[in-house]
Amino acid sequence: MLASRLSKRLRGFERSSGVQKAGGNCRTTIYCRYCIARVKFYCIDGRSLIYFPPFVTLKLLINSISLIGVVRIWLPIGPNWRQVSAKRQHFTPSRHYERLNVKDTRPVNIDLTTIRFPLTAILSITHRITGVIIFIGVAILLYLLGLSLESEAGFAEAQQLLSSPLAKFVVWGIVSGLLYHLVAGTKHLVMDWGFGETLAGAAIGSRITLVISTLLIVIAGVWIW
Amino acid sequence: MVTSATNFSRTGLSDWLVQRVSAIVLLAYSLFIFGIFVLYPELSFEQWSGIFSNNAVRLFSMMSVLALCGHAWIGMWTVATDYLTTLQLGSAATSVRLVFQLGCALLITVYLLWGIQIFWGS
Repeated sequence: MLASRLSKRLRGFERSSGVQKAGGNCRTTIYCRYCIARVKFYCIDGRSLIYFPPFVTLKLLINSISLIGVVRIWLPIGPNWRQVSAKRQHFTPSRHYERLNVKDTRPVNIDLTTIRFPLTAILSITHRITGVIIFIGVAILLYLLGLSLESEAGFAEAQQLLSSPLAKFVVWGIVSGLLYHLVAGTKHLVMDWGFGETLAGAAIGSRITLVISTLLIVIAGVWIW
Repeated sequence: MVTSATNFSRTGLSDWLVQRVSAIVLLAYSLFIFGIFVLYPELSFEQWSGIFSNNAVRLFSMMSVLALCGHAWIGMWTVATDYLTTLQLGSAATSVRLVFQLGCALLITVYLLWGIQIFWGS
């Protein structure tokens, strides 16, 4: 599935070389089968390929609208393009520099602080962060639930606990995380059914996710206070 | 190349499905809990404990606790194997990830037993 998605995104292009920089970030270059266009992909986390617009040639921009923006392709198991043949590895620029014992000064645009992530990427990382927050926050929710179900006195104690501004803020924080995670997760399920899988569809979906979750979080805040 | 020694169910496809099914259970349970708060703005202890002593609700709660355990493990596995790698941490990565995942396993076990105690304790 991922392979077919990759080939769909890169229609007309084929991967021709995988280059691994010793001890650094990996990159691979994809060349067009029919013209001189080429696009470079970088791998910064060992699993995903990230494509940076500055490296697109003008021709590529004209040829392939779908490649505009950041395309992130998840590979099922590690970057298997890392396993380039020994013969090819031998002739990579990094190896060349290494053998000459010269410092590789070619620019590598890998400073994430200089890259503006698209909305979809921001929402994706927020989904993960809220997931971790919920995982820890469940302890607080379970404590409150257990306390409130224990006895009449426990129920009153839980109500008492929840009346303090700090507790309200903490619970609102966890509930906000949960609401966002639920909305973003629902978007994932919708996409699993095949809706909004295109680049434009994903952008629309992430905007809808943002609007709905913000609304719900505000409503939750009003309701808690 | 061993790339998936600590995932939930040994295959990515099965993990994917578990993540989705548990997500639907947790979504339904969250809606159920939010629904209680919306339907009963002035909730009393009798109503509250009455809802949770219903066997159907107990079953639903227990399903959600189990779904939470699986969902959390897969989610934390994804996070750990994405952000605690040799690229970020060098040679210490495997040890750090192992400790992190053991911590997650401990917390998940606590949640499971705690959930059983809350929903089936009395």
